[in-house]
Amino acid sequence: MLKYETALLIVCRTINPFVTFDLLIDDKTPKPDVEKIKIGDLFFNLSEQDKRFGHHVVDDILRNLVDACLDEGFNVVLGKGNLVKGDYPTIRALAKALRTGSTPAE
Amino acid sequence: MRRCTAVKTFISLSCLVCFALTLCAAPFQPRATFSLEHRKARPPQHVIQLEFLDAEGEPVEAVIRLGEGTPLEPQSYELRARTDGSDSAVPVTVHATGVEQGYASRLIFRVDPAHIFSTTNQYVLHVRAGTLFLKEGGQTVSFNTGRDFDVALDNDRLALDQTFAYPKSVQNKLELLGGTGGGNASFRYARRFDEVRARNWLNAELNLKGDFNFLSENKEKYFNSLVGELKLFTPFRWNFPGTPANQRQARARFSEWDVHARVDSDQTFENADKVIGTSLGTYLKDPISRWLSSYHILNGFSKADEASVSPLLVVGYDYVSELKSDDDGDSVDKLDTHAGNHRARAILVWSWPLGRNVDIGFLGINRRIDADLLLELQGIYDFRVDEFLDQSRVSLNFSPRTASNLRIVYSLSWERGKAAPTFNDVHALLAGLKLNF
Repeated sequence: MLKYETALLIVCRTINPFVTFDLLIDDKTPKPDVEKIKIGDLFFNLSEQDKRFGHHVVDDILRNLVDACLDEGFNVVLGKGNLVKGDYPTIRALAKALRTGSTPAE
Repeated sequence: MRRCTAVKTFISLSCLVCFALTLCAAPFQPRATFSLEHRKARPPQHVIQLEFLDAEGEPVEAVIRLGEGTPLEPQSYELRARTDGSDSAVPVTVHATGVEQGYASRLIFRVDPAHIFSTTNQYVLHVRAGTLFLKEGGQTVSFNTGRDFDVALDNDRLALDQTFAYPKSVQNKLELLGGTGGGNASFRYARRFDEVRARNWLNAELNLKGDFNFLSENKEKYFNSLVGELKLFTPFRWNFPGTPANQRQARARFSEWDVHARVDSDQTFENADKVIGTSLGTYLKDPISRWLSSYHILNGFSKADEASVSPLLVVGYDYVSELKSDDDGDSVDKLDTHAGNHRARAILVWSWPLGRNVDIGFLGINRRIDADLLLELQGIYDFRVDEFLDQSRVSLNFSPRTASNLRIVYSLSWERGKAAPTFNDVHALLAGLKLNF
């Protein structure tokens, strides 16, 4: 299984460009208390802007999350629907989802 | 005989009620959703996941006991696909993920890769009695001894996953607004063709969108705009020059660049322009929006605990030439494009979160709402006619707190400015609702 700290870093790096707050101190250090930040509506709102302007941000986020897990040597279960429908209401929940949905790549 | 049937029905209903009460009393609630399984060098595959949520709605880690019950037996489950007049079983295999000390966090159900899920079906995961034992308060307890249970799956997630997993996908949106000039409508339709699906560096997309009044005689009172567009696009992340090596990911920015060919028309197809251009959309991280979104003013300036979306800035260049003109004296504001015009344009969009879970009982409404102020400012400069055109929308959006999958937003909007191709001056105050599907 992916380590929780690694999963948290992957989530923060991936969504940081799209949120008003800074989630990271540097490339390897998330800000304190970042896990409690709610992201239940974030992907829905980004998805609405994607539709409005023909962008593909949510796809890019999912692709980055998945690629980061694959680069760490893990397969992962995570859907675009899980993100947009707010299945993971906080950064902590999404990081846990990456962790518990990961299996070592064969 | 009839009495016996009635007794059986009563017993069945009693069992159902008892089981429902048992589930309600259980500390964890089961949730089954469509998802995607990603493996290296393979396209993503649709799977179904079963997980258990705590009181906060977050999935519980290491909760399903693998050594008791039959959680990894495919016979313990039945995935039913129901549609009008038919009910069929989809064979599944089951795997555990997030396993720690004999407890799994999730069960993943794979189907034959050749199987195609359809959003016209209603899928239900049926779990047989005695299958699941959960960790509760340090002990292992049965979740469904003597009780089968069903968990329905939501097709919205399946549809969203399909837009990612398959190269061709559709995203639709319809908004209906009543106000100045009667009934107005906005629609969006997109069809995407991913040429390089795995890396997504070059893609194509067909877009149709419109803002118009239902009555053509009132067309001057709204934006009166229909757009058909084909574009090539690539999303990418970048850094400002001089970003320290240990801050590259922490300070990365996201942009999406596209090249597009478009036709802009009015709703009666009397005026139309063809457009070839390019645009660059970038999510900003600026101190003003960061500070404003740090507090929810409708919650008494309480510290915000949610990540709100950064402002989006789109800048672009278009070469515009005339396809059709009605030469109507009414269209005095229409820009002459018969010789070909060069235009620069910019759009700034930001949704400012004003309040969350706001009590509006003082209005006699017994619902809590989320409130956002949506700002959309657009400017176009036409070099040939040396004219600046602007278009602004300011919307106050109220979203009732609901568990429903259908998101309804009540909207009060003020919209002004000019839209291609007629560029008639528009001032509209609109109230209505937006449905997203």
